[in-house]
Amino acid sequence: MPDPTNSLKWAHEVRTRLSSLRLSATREAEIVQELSQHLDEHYRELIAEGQSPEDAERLTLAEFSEGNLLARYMAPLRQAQTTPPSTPGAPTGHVLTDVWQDVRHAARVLMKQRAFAGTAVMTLALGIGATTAIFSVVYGVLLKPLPFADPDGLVSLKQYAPHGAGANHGAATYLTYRENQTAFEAIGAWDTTDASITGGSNPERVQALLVSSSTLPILGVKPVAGRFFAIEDDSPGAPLRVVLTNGYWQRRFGGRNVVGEPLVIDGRPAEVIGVLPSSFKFLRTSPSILLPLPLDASAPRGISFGFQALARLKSGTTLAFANADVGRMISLLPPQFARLELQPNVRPLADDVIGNIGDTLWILLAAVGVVLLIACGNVANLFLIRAEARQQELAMRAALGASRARLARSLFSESIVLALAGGALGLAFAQAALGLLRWFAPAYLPRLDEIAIDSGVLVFTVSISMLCGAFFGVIALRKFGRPNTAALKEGGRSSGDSPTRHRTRNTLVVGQVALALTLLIVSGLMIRTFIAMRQIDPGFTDPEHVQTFVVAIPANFITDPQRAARTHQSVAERLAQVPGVTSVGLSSSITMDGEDNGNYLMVEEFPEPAGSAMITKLRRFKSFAPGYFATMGNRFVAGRDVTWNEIYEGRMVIVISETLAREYWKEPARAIGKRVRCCNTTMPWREIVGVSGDERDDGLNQPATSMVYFPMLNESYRWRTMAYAVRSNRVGTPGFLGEIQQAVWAVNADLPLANIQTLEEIQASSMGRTSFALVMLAIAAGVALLIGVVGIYGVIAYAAAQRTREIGLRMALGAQVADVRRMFLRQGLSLTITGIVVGIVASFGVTRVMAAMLFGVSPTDPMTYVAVSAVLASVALVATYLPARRAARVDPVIALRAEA
Amino acid sequence: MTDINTRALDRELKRGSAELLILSLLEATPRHGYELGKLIKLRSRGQLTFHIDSLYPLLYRLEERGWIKGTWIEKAGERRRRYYKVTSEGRRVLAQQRKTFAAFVAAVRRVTGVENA
Repeated sequence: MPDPTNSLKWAHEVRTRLSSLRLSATREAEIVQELSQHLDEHYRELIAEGQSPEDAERLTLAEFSEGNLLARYMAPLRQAQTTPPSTPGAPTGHVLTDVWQDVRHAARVLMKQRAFAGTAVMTLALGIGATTAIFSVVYGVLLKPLPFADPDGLVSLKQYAPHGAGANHGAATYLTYRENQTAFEAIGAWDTTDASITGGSNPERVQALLVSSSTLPILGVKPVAGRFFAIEDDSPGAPLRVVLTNGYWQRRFGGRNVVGEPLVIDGRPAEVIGVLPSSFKFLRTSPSILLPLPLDASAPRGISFGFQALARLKSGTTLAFANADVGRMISLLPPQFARLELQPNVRPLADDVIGNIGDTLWILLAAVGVVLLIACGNVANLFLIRAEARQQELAMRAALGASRARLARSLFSESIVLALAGGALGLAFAQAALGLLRWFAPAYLPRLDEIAIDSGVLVFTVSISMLCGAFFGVIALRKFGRPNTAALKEGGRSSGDSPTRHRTRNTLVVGQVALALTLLIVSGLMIRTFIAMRQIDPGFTDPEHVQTFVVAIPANFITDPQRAARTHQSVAERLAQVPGVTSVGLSSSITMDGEDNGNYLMVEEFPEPAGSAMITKLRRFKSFAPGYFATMGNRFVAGRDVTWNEIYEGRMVIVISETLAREYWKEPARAIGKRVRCCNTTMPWREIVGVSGDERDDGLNQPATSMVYFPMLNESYRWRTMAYAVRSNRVGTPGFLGEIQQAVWAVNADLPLANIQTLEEIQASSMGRTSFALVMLAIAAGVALLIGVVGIYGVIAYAAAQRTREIGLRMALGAQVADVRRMFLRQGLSLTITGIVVGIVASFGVTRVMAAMLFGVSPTDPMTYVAVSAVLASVALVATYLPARRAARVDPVIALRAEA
Repeated sequence: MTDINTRALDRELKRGSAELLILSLLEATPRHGYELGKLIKLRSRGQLTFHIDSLYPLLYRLEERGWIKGTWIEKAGERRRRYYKVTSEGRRVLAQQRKTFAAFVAAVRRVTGVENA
């Protein structure tokens, strides 16, 4: 056999000579072996010939010529030009190349462990996908600037109105501000209304945006055709001019040039002067036409609040300064405004679009963030388990000369590669989720068309993916960054499961359970809210059988109020003849449709000093016609309905709601025959003939509204646009709406129908925020529960696998199956219970934030807490039981034979 | 007996005529590198000597061209060695080179008038 010392010497000589070549590691080893053998044989021959070992060695090495001919002859060969090896531990000296090497190596390693990588990527993709989807909603709705030029300078001009009146504007506030302000470049007024467009083939009822001439220039909008309103268009009595939105222009006129053409709006001739760009999107409105908002600067300025105002801040002006400026101007208002105690409330215009959805969205983002955290916890656990299994490999690489930094980098790049893969898949999930969201198009969500996965969202997704990667990368590093040389010993794998590693994994599981419980409690509370809202009597029954729509009779279309009323009666009677219709009713507005006409009601029996009460006791006024309550399915608590005759004869009768009746008379029946009147002492007294059941006019989660129902076309409330309610089993069937429309047009072909929706749709949209939040939170909680339970299962299953040998030993020494099972069940349950306790404590804090979203349930509702904890505990029990049962089935002989 | 400058021969071999030697020796039976070096020295009666740093690059070059093929073979009682054998492509080249070489030698003889070199 060759002398090993010499062999090493020859190998060294050969290797030194080959070092300048770019041979692959295996090829180099082959050549070294072949040439060393050659040298060794030559040496042994020389010894056999009688040479001294020194001479033999000298002569052997003389085989190599001066100047390393070996390398020179080898250099042109293909095998000497392989690309540099990508083995981690062989740094190339270039940072980028090294990083790329790490990434490629990581990808290769992960590809080989499909089960591990697949589970981790899927888990992360769920978390990152959910977070990305909600973030893109938050970004599109809350964070993206409004689609106007220089949107940061745009503000909404409002007042705080502690007594409920005065948050908006009327001529007094608006004109006073316009004349005296110093903080703004300009102030503009706006309001929405419905308008009838007649004269064409079909009369149309469309949403109109009323604007002062300054409003569009403040927004920086430019016309695509014609011009916008000028100051002279604002003045009362000016000829009516109209600007079309791009959508309406395309739909009605096919985009042809219409500037200068006439249009009949609410019976008045108008001239089209311009067209808006298609990008025009104004807050939450969706108008078809824009009309001037005329204001008479010389008219008396009484208390009225009917429209909104916006402004552009002078450059360099702060919101605080603008508010101070408005505060100063409030004191300039006419003296009767003093009792309203208005406070300035200038705020970014974007707040008007966002409304109260901001809180909901942030809570949702936090919820999916929690899901992501749980997912990260799971993947970190997987990483720990896997890194333990790789102890030997890591120790080996360290022993072969890989530096600590190098090993750390390669562990780290694996986690980053994994996280980025999860992020990429998550993006696909998010895209699908947004597609679903657009399809559902919850009415409650503004700016839906601005929600998309754009560059801002991409940056977010890549960042959170990297953060996740860093998170479990660091956890793995903290535990395994320092190679454990003990792992190199024979059977070293058994030394892997140290108590500290156990502790890290257990902590992760407890955290996951706690987070999952918090989410479950939050969605449990939302479910209770939803149920509570469903149980509220909304003031109507069987909403799916009630069709509602609006029919307007403009004053200059039918001038005489009596004739207008008769037209409505004819329509109602005609509708009642449509097959399947059981009843028809009219009211100035349907429950919960957002119309809030508040005013003061004087009660003869309880006189109040003028002043304070006029502002503090606002009642909702509606006017109605016979059949309204019956059609809605509302009942009369006391008294009776009015009749068409009472309307035509102008009888001084009135109906009030139960809540209002109880406020004054405790018993609704005692209200009958009492007298009330509207607004001020000049109005006539009216006798209460009926007390109706309550309507939740402000939404199901609000207290019943105090309502006053005037017979249609009365002296204090001349509302000529009526909302119709039609009850029929045929609602929603094909052809029914067409028959309804024909019935209306049979009375007058120029009457347009608008706001066509079923009562059920109105009810659903009033629960929009709750249902939206509920569905989203329930999904988040479900995913959290799933991932959390998988986490518990994983830890117990792994612990069981690690302890197979120990179990075998215990059973060989007489332990029973039940003992072993109990051991693991105890471990799983103690983790679960710790998690639940932590989760309950966390929930007490977290749920307080969402109190505003709850209805009929306390944020610390014990029933929800107990029920949810029980659900989580039982699911966790199953997740623990399965691996525990498997562990207890271990055959002692096999377990002891296996290398644990 | 005139000694041939072996270093100069090395250069010569590199240019190609050494290929003929190797292919010829491997034609009959596979051999390992050390054996090839010894055979060349023996059959040339010490006139031709291959050094390790020219022999092996040559073998590897022939292998890369696909004319010979090396295989690790373990024989009983011996250590693992790399044996080379001629491929079919190598046999074709060998036949061609033999013809060319014979023609070359004949031409040299005719020119120099040496009959019995």
